[in-house]
Amino acid sequence: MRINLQGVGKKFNLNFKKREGILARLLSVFSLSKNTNDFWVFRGIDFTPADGQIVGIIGRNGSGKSTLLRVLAGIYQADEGTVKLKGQVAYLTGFGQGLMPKLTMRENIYLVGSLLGLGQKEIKQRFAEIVEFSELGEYIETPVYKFSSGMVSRLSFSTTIFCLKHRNPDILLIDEALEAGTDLNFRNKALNKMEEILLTGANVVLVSHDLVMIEKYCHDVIWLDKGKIVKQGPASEVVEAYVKVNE
Amino acid sequence: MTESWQKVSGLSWTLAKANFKLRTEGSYLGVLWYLLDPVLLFAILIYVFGSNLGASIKFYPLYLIWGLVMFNFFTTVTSQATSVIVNNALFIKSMKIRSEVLVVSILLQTIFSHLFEIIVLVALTVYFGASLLSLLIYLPIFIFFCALTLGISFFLAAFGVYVSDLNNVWKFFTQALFFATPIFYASAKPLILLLNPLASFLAITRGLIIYHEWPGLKIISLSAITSVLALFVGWYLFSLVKNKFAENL
Repeated sequence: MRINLQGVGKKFNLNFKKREGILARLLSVFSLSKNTNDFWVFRGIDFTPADGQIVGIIGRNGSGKSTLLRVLAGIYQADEGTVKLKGQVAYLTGFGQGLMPKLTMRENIYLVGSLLGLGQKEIKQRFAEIVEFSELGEYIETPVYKFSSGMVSRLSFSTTIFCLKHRNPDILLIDEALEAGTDLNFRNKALNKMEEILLTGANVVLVSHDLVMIEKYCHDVIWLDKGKIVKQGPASEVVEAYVKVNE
Repeated sequence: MTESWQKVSGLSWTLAKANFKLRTEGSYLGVLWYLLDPVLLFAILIYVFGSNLGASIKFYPLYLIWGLVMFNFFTTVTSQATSVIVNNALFIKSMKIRSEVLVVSILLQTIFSHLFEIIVLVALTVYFGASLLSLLIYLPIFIFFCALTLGISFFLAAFGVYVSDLNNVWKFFTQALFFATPIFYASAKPLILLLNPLASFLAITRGLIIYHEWPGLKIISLSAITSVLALFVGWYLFSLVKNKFAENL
């Protein structure tokens, strides 16, 4: 098993004050009043999908989907239970992260590529493919702030996807990231590419509100509500039950 | 381990290059902006102190510029470090990125601009007829100086996640430090050398490069130990809390 979660829980302190000034910090350290108000986002999550499975996570806003994915990605640390992952993990949440508008398209591809964990040589190998896929070959030396929003989407989608493909992750975590805000032609192309990646045999965990997508690609679905697993099982069954409750 | 270090250095390098370009892009003066700060201060201080305070110091312009340039390097890196994690909150929350990279990239980026300052130093050294060869000695000194700067930067970067006005506090601190360090005046008080690592670094650099004097094993080993210790302590504290950054931003 590449993914093995046992009794995993994550809490946030609701009284936590984000980045206070230094004086306020010192005062609160010396005031000695224990100021915690723990809120468990989820608790007791057991999750061990079979290798190569695509698992969907659905649920209403605030049910803990994204937090669970971040715990899986290692961005958040679990507060109880054990999280064991084997192999390369890639986490994808939306596109367009890491782009710097003042840099040219070429520089941005290198930047995003390195942020996604590729070395300079590896990006060089993929560079031609990325440019070709984005269909932006004429603008390689153009700064990205001159791009239209659709062009930015194309660029970031192409870069992210080809870098992901190159890394060939064993575990792929996707948080609402299947949308690429582009025209129909590119959208279809992008979906095909995405499909290619979904079907490479990696363990995929997919958080989405797009139930059609979930039913199409996922073997198993987990339905989260208020941090508890309501239902877990074959995609069509769980989605059907979820739709019924939310109608 | 080696592979992950390659990744860290590769990413730091790319980020540093990108940020360097961003800072210089779109202005004709470009990299000159980097030089302007120390050079301007140099001109003012020479004008103000050149004939009185500096008169008793041999090669005062060289003495002064070495102090300014090294101090400038230290403050540029450390003051950016206070807010680097917060400025990159989006990255840290949305990808599994080694946050050390962000701190190291500041150091690299500042080394780029430091190289331009070195060019000015070379010009001045030639002008005063001092030996260019002695400039080579700066390299090993600089490596330890980087260790010191990086260690303090790691600490500040981690601390800055929890305290929102750390950059103001640090700005005030470095201003005080400017006067507490023998940059434009001479001081040989052993206590200052002991308490202020910047002062001992300056003493070593000036001694070796300008005056061709051996500063003594005591002060050299003290500086080396302080800087390596600073690096390890800073890095250790940083790694203690770095997994909590995403939640605290």
